[in-house]
Amino acid sequence: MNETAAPAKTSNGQAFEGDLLSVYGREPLLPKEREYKFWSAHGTCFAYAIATWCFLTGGITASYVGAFEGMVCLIAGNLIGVFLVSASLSAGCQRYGIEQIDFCKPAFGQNGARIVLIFYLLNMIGWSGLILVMFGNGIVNILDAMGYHAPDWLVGAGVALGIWLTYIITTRGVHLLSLFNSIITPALIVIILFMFYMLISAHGWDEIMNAPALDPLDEPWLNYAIAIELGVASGMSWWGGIGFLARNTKSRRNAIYPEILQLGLVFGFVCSIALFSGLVVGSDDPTKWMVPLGGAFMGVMALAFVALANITSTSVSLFASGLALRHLPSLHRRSWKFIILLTCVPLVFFVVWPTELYDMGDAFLAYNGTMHAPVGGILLVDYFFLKKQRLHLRSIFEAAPNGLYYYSKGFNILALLCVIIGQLTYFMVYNPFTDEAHTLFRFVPASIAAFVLPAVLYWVGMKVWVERSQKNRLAALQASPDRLVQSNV
Amino acid sequence: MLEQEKVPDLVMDLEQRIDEMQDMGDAELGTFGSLDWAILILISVVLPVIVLVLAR
Repeated sequence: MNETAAPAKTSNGQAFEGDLLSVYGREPLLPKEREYKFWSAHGTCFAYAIATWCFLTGGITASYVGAFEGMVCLIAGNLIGVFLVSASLSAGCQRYGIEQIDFCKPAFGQNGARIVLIFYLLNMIGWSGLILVMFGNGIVNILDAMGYHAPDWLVGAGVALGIWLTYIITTRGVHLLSLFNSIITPALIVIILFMFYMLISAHGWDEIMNAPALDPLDEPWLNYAIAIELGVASGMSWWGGIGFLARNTKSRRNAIYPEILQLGLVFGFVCSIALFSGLVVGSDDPTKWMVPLGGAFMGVMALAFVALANITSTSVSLFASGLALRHLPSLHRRSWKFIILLTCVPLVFFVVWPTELYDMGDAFLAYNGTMHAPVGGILLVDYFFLKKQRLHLRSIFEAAPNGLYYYSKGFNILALLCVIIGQLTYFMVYNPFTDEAHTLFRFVPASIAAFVLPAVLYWVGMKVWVERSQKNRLAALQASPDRLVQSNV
Repeated sequence: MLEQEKVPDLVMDLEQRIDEMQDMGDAELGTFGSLDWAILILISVVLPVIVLVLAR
């Protein structure tokens, strides 16, 4: 994976651009090409975890619950959510060196995985856009703290600057991302510790713990249940980055443990510090916390570093989006720069309407929960209980109908139906747009219900209707020459 | 746009990678045994659920 390393050789000893595509494309990554070892895996996950999306999640949670309840819900909920979606993705993507949309093909089918791809791209681009708006807000707040009155259009201009910086980093490859993370990660550790120190020293633990929620609903149980849901759903929303991280790791432990510890535990802790900040400052806007907490100088410095971290996090998102776009036949052999440019196009909306789109952040988080939970449940059952951790790798890259994962015209209708059932289940248990909740929501987060029910239905359906035909198809494949008829790369 | 003459090489490279990854033993990609799963489930599911119930 290291761009400075000599390119890989083919069987006839010649280097060629296939190596480049294996870096930027979708081909299975061989262990010797993978970038992340123990520290780099933890460092990348850590840098990914402590970007401003945890500040956003902590700020929203501050609207519903106080410090103690919020901290418990965010840490515990995140751990549960990350584990449920990462167990199968990490194990499978790391084992076969594939990225996550390819990993979806055994369950959803060659074409069905492209439907998941649409969800996935919306997720990645939505997060990227929100973070870039926070980058723009950060610039405005830095200028405000320095005594300049920043015009409204500067937020959009900041988003445009962020898009340009992200494009520059992303097109240089994963090695540059690792380099940036190795610089920014230590700085972010200092900032978060500084924020926590200022919270404790200036306000004290008692004031933090006694600070009321910013805008709670009337029923206490519902606020607590929503806070758990926010924790679980935000944990599950790591679905978008897990495959990219896992396929770049050299060992399975380096794939799974950093994701659980950094994206689950550390993310939960940082969300909690954000929650405390929101409660103490009395605002759910993270870019308004730094200066009141740290004073003008330290606040501006902190804002500047967090803004830089946003750029690296957005770069990781766009990198993963670019890999996913390789699934579209028209983009199979386009240049990496062109593909990254395409991922930047939807972000232009955030340049034009930054505040309007940023205000829809709640709805976006809810959308994430409805999508990731059923997809995660189906993938877990499919990989561990149906496929027994054994994938037919050639069929993942086989576009012809004889592939094992072609199903019906490229779609596994059962899996797609289960996703719809999962989404309906989510809204029946809890409607995040109206805050209406079923009694079941007292005991089970909507994301868990939307994870478990589709998973069970999928397992039963596959056993009853699909498994026998899959076995017959596998037997036919094993009897025929082991070559791709029509590669989908 | 990548040059078209690279395409056969790309498919050949993909075939080689598929063979290599498919034939590779699990141990070559790092072990992850039942103890690992037990630890993961404990810290990611069991303890969080207990804490959430107690804090309710």
